[in-house]
Amino acid sequence: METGYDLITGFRVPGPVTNIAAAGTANAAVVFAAGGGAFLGTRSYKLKKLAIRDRGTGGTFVHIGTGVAGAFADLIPAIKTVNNFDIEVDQNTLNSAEAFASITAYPEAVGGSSVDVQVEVEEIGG
Amino acid sequence: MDLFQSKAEEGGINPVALIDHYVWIHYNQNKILRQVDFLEPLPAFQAIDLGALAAGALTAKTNITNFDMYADEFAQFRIWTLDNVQLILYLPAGVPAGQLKTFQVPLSKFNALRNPSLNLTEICVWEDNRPAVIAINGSGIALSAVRIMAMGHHYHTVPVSATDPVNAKIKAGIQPVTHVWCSRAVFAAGNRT
Repeated sequence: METGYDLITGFRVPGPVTNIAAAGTANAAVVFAAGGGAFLGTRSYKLKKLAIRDRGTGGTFVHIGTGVAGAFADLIPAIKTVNNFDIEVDQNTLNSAEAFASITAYPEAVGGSSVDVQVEVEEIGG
Repeated sequence: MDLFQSKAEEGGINPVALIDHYVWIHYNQNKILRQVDFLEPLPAFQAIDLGALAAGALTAKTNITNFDMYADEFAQFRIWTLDNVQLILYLPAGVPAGQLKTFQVPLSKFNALRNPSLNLTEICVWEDNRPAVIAINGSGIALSAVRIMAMGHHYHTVPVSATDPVNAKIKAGIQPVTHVWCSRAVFAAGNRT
């Protein structure tokens, strides 16, 4: 049964696991690609879950946002990683920041290693 | 058949008329008798995206061109917004909808929560006499988009001759007719007494 809530919420879609082995905004990688198409309305993507695995950076900050290089804009404050540990942030803790473009991420440092990043979004629109 | 405009039912939207039903189309001061010969459901779609809107700003009055119908067609829409705006609706573009004596009732994203069937947002559009909308961003946060969604039905109709015997039956109250309000002109300032 459709309710009012259904009319203003969307579908949950997990992005792929994205390995990022280079630091800095210039190396921000797409962790969730925005869709497109002739009949598609304006889609937006609300962050709902976040998983990060630190593969041995020595501990860094991972930024989640939109854009690359000078156009990068954080959606949420950077997440601190612990060397060789994983982090999961669920929807009760994560701000449901809304993006109208592909979601990108970058680590501030990689220490010769890399991080894996995966987000789950709520896709909203027609 | 218990069909009428703005009918409240949970989880759906009933058509205002079925095939072969008669409808009175009210448009401005006109009352046009038509017979429905086809109808088609329209699942939820984006009617318009008014674009980015700064905090506290409002858009120009914008025609919802996606609501244009072909000749002889009318449509029934329930509308809502995905973004945090208030919408001031005009039906058609020159006539305020929801106009009270001192206040024009807006729509907002909360309609979907407070009126889940959205029956209170229902409008009908006759041919290409499209509605228009102004969006107000009353929040303190700039918006990247102002998306207005709609769903409903559209209907193809055929004219009914003034000499058709059904006219007498309608006048006698034997033949049911559904009233379809495709304009709020009856509520326009000039028509008030």
